Amino acid sequence: MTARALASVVLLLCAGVAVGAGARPRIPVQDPDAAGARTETFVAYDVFVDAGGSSLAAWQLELEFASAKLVGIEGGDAMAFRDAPIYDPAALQGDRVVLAALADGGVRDLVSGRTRVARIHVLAVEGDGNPRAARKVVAADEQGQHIEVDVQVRRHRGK
Amino acid sequence: MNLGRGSCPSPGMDDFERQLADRLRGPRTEVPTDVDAAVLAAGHEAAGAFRRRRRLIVLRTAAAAAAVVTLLLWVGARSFDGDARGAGAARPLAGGFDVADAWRVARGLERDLQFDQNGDGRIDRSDADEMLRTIVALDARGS
Repeated sequence: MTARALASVVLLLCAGVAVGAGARPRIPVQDPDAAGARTETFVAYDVFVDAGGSSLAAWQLELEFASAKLVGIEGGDAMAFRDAPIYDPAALQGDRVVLAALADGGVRDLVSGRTRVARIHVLAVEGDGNPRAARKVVAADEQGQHIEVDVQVRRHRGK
Repeated sequence: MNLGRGSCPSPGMDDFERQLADRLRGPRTEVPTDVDAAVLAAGHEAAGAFRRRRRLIVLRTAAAAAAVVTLLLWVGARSFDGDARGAGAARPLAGGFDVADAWRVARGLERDLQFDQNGDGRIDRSDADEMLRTIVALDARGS
């Protein structure tokens, strides 16, 4: 091989290396329609407390979601529980929260029967978030005495 | 002379010994047939009654156990459909108090200084708010 031919080969090799070094790296892009891809959705759950014939003055409970992250908490329907319940900010982006609320206003604003006391917004990573039953439920009447209540957690169907 | 118990007189025994043996055994008592039947019937009736009572006890025990199992399954099933029931007299939770205590503090219904959460010597709404923050804190529950 002549010197000129050898130099040409070397130059070609160097050019190839330069081109390869300057090329933009390929970034694998996940196809969202590919099988196995998870779909995250925002879901809201309403928390109902049924105090029966007693007046609901205060309540607390613990909620947990099997496959969702908490993103927001709102108050309920009744004026007494219009404001969002108290919760630990550390619960956001987690899957467990403890809620507690004292009725606002006067004793005349207290409600009995079934009342929506809060709405929980979650980012469901699988299914609808799979909420577990409310636990450690405590409620009190206007005298601060413990009362028996039923708690329901139902998915909110937006209008 | 060896009479033994229930022994029969041997052919070689003389009359004196035979009579002595008979007297020692005592007179043979014949039980009337109807009396014998009545006694046997009473015995069978008593044994049957005992067996019926024992069967009834076993059935009642099994029914009670089934009822307990059913109740446990029903309670367990309710806990998986989003519903729950609050305990009327719940034991103290995080911080030794619950929302009922916080309500009484907020409404001025409580005067016990153990509820003075902020140490200002007063029992008021600020203490109730502090109690609520303790109740809902996740780190207190080891999360």
